[in-house]
Amino acid sequence: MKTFQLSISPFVFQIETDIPLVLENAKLIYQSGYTEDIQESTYVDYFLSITFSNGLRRFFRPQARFLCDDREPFKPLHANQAFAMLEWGMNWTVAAHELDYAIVHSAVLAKDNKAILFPAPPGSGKSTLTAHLSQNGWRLLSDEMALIQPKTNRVRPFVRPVCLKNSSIELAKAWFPDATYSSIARHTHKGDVIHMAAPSEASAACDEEAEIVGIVYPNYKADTTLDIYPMNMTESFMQLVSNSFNFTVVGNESFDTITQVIEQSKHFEIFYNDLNEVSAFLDEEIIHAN
Amino acid sequence: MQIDYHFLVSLFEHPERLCDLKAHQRPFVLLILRQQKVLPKFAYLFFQYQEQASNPKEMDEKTLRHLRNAFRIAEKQKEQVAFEADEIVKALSPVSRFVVFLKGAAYSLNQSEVGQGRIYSDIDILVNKDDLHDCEQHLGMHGWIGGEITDYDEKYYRKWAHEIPPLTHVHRGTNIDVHHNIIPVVSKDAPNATILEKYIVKNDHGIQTLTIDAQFVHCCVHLFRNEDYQTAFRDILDLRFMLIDVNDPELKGVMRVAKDLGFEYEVGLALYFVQEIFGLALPQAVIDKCLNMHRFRSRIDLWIFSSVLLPKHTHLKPKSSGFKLMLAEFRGHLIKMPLPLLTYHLTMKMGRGIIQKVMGEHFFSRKEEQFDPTDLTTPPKG
Repeated sequence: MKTFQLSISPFVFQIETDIPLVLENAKLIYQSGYTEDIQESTYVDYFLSITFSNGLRRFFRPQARFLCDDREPFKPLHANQAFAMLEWGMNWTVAAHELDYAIVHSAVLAKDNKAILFPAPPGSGKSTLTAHLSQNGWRLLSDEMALIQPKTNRVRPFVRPVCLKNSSIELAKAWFPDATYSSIARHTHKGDVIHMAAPSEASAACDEEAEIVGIVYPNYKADTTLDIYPMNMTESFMQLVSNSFNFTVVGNESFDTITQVIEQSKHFEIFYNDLNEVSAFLDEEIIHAN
Repeated sequence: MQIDYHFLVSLFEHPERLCDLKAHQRPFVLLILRQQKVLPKFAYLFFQYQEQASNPKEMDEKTLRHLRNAFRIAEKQKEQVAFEADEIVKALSPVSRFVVFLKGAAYSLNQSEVGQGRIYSDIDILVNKDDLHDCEQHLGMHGWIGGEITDYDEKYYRKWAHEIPPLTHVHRGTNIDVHHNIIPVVSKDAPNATILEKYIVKNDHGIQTLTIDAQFVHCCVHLFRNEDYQTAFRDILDLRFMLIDVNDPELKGVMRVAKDLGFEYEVGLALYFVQEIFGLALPQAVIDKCLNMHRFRSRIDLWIFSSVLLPKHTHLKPKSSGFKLMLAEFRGHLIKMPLPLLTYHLTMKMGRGIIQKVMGEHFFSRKEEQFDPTDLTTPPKG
């Protein structure tokens, strides 16, 4: 059994594992955030473990179990999906415990410290878009969750790898051959999954907040270069709330926070197949608009 | 990093002592408290200390954030349970003579001291036994339905415990446990349900609970007639803070109820351990009188529970005794069921246990129960 720490600002996770695949991938993906040299003086926010299932399962279709403290939020997955499971487990841990932020299921990218949220369901192409933007002049704050400071429209980075699925895997590898990729977790409930490390500039700016200026709901559509539909605030509000992890628990404060974000942002729904067009549109209409 | 359990327990009398640890040691305390389901309680006490102390000791920002997070969940539950209670009363008042909220839900609904920072995973209610069948139907019409359980468990609930399996609301996911007695009737010691009715009171919002004295007795009975002691520390902590609500150093009211229901011995044991663990001064004569009712049995019980009721965690020292824990759990089964039934029950459970050891923990989990690990909008359990 090995123990390592991941410092992913603003949290520190201490993780125990006996699965080599987890160690290799964590080291590769988190680089300087990864350490096996546990310093006594480090403040650990969450103690996690990801280990082989007990019993004969260790030898016959081995499984990985994820635990946060002593709780097991998910059923075990195949051991080849262990690193992906750790990533999802860390998401769960933050979503289940952190109520100081209003947390929205959304990718966050910024330019000139102006941030755009991309809340979207799976299959919308959100992660491919995130990967593309993060490699083309945009700063990645998060692929999965926007941590919004309460009663402000500022979002805090939580820089994690981008989770790519199925056909996006080959696309991304062709577009960004220099990026760092985890091993492929095959046959998950989302299909094949890979994690692409955040660019080093994004990790370096892991404590720099950005101001939310736009909320864009992406929909990948193979036969459409770029169609843009402005959205009204009410519609956007409802969508953002339904993508919030802790809206009901945080209650009034979360309502105020999301209202403020909505009031100070531009809202669009887009249908696209050309990522460069999307990037240009975001730049002109949101970041550099007056 | 090992935490001394005396220190951990003392935090509930002196929350400021957490400040005496170095910042990087505090997460281990938070870890243990969270696992024992008492972190929000500690958070409540700590914030109370901060508010009341003229010159509070300093605490690091990360620990404060974890405490705020924990306390918020408890506050949210309190809000939620008030809503659920109204819904349950609405569903059941046409069919049951009474709908009494028990344990955690009652503590919250009465705004009592013990309910501050108390978290729980289900709402326990007591209804009139003759109305049990109608209650199940009416709760079903209002969205509370039984989850899928094994045939064996179904049989356990309905045939032996004469109870309804736990119900879950289809939209809100809240769980209810419907009881018609404060201990399962399969045990020969279950009190006559009509005696219990004397202790039903209504609060200002029209919500029924037991009187605080009867709640105290119920908590004692629950603790010493249990077969799961993993988080028994929370129960003993409940009793400690319920003493504030009881607000009678002589405990006369509590003892009256205990005698009436036939649970003086359990109350005696509970008082003994509250005194022992938290170093409080409780009326020794009362405790002695209760324990002397079963001289031999009390010696064994005092020995078994001496470590079982303390917090348990791999980061605590000294290690709690696994042997005593096993005895306590076996004892719990033994007084709950007649021996032949117990033998059958444990054989069934053990058989499954052995298969899980060999085949892996989740051998009996259904495939479709698989929680989508990327769907984080489902609220956390517990």
